[in-house]
Amino acid sequence: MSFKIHWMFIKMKYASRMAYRLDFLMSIVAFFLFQFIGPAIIGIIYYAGGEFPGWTMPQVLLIMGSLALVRGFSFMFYVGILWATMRHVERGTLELLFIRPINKLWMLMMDSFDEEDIGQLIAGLALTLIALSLVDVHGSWLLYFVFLFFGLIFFLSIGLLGSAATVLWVKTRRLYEIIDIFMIFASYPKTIYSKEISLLFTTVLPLFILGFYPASALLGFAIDNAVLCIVSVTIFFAISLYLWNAAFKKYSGAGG
Amino acid sequence: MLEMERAVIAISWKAAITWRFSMLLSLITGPMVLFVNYSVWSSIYMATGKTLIGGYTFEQMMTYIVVSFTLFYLLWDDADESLHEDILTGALTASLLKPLSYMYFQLLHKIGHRFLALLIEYIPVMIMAGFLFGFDIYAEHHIGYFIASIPLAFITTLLINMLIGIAAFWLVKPKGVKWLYRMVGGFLSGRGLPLALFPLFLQKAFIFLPFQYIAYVPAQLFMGNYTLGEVTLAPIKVLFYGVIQVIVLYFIVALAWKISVKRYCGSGT
Repeated sequence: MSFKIHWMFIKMKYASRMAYRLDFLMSIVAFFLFQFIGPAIIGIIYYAGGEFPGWTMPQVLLIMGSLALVRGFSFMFYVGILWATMRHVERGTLELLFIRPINKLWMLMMDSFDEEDIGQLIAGLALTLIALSLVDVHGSWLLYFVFLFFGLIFFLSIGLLGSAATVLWVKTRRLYEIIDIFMIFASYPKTIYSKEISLLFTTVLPLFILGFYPASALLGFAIDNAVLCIVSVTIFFAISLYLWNAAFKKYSGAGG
Repeated sequence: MLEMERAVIAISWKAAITWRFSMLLSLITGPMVLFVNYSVWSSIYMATGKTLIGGYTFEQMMTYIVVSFTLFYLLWDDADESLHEDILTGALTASLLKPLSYMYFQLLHKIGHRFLALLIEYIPVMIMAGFLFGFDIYAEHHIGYFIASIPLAFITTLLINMLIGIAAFWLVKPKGVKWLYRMVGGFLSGRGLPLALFPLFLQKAFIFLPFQYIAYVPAQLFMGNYTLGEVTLAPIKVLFYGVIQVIVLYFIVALAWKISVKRYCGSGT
């Protein structure tokens, strides 16, 4: 039942955006191009004679493609709960959303569906396919998809944390900037960071699950501490969910 | 007359102060971005064993990155967003009645809020970068040329944003145009990555575009030299061409405004 309503929400969102087709198309193009800026920078670095230790350009592109794929899907389907929460809290319409007979989080996810992020998803798919056509796959597809799945969970956790922070502090617009910076950190091979930073992005803030581990799994590279990273994502998600529930228990509004 | 300018700048300053805590977040995000760039480039220089990449030593690359990145704090404005809002809500009607042109008002407004950014974002992040990467990154500096390039960058950014904003006269929903520029604008201006590293045909194209004056030109002038698309120019000549570029861009924006504002119709708010 929830899936059916969810699908109807998505169709409605697309229908309303189609009222302004040119704007919608340009937004999709903008998000599509945005995902190619990182790979363009990598291309320029290699063109200028630079390289990352132990990684060829297509291999780095695979990291970025995998990241863009996970990011595109997550931003389209649920990371928007952060902005949806902010919008509803500012307008005082959150409780109107929650009186509907659907799970609160599910309702918020439906409401936050971001139709123009399909540009990011398509770009992620295109980047991954381009990278795959240029590298030799010696690793495991199964592991690749397992890492991607946990990448999706990680993004859900980020959305939950952002949403919880918004309920508590309302004005959190610059959270987007912090998420973008995390993405920059996640775009490069683990080998460029010091041991301490690598450990940080494997455990406390498991960013390597988004690009480095999926690409390494597919390329057949060593995936040290991958289990630790997966466990960290799981714990990160559990904490985020707990905090989200705790924050929403504290929420009070006057009813729109 | 100057009293009016002073008043607009003072009001913008006061309005910006209400966002001071949001601005202070740059003290965390700025060093984080610079740190990831440091990690990337130090590993690249180490892996290749080269002392020069694209004509830059590691220290010069860090200087370029820090200067071009932090400059954004001084240049940022939301003229595009304001114009969109004013057109869509009808608030533009009141703005058109003011004894100041809309563009001039935006310029004064920008001076007000960016002056605050200079104090609580730009200078602190520059100092933090010095502590993080060593103050040697500022050793090879030509501060005079750099300061002279800032007004050009400041006005160029505003004019481009105004041009993006003008799209709202023609489109009911102009968000897409705004996003498109925001996503690629930094990249085209050389923010964080020198344009001199790009393929030659792109460098030659960049010479004729205004974007280089937003980040590449100020950062290069800070280091005292300018080369793009195999064209090497003395700093004073770069500044001279910058002035011409600003004048041309101004006339383009003024013409676009003149044509577009005729489409506007508001009933007063």
